[in-house]
Amino acid sequence: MTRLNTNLTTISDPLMPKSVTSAADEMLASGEAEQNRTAWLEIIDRKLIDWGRSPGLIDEDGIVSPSIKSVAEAIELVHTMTNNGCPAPMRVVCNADGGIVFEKQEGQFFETIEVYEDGSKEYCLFANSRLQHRIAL
Amino acid sequence: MADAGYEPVEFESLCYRRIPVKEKDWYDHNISPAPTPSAFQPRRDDTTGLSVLRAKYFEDIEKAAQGKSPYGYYVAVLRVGDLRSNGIDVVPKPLENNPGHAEILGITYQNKNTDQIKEWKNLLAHKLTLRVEGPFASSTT
Repeated sequence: MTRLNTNLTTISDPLMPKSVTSAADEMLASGEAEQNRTAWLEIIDRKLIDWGRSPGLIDEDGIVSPSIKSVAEAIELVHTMTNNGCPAPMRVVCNADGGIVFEKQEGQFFETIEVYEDGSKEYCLFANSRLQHRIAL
Repeated sequence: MADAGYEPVEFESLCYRRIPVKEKDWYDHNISPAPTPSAFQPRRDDTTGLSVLRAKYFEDIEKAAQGKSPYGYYVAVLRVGDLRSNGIDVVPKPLENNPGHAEILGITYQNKNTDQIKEWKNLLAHKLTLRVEGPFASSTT
């Protein structure tokens, strides 16, 4: 776990909250930061609130909509990301099993933060579709 | 034919994975040409493998896109040989009313959170999906 965490600090991980604030501070000063903030908040307005209205339903394909716990944790996550100036994700989807996945793609790298049905969270990094890092948050 | 659907799945054949339109952003070409890996997430009744459809059993792809959802489906097209080259097998699993039903072996609800299944879902979405067609409307609407 320590090794994974150490490695994570050395890789490009745009979805992760940045502990080094200087870059985030610079971004916040720009229009790009405002766009990011708007994009994050739209995730709450357009998706999470909607999911929160009818949590945990199973549809005709056996897909379980996000649980109330996963929605609450995802809203917390959005606030953390917004406050840390993180770039907005490419896509936010239901994981089919009561959870929510935030996805980001940059070239060969694909990152996810998955909020599970029970509210627990996990970060994964894939390079060329191969799993490189997986850590509980 | 009594044994229809039980013959081995051919290396060069195509198979389909339905992606419900109802699940917003599971596939949106404006976001990405690839579907989300969540489109390959096993459901609670996927106890032996992940459902796919053998293309040769359907007159056209729209027929394969007919499912239970009234909102319709996109269809991800995959080549069986590509999957096998990546260590992922497809086996026949004909159903009474659907001889073209098959399964991607090993992607089950029980092991959905293993490293291997996380990686396979990613491979299927980002590397092995040849294209996504649709959306196709449900014939029941």
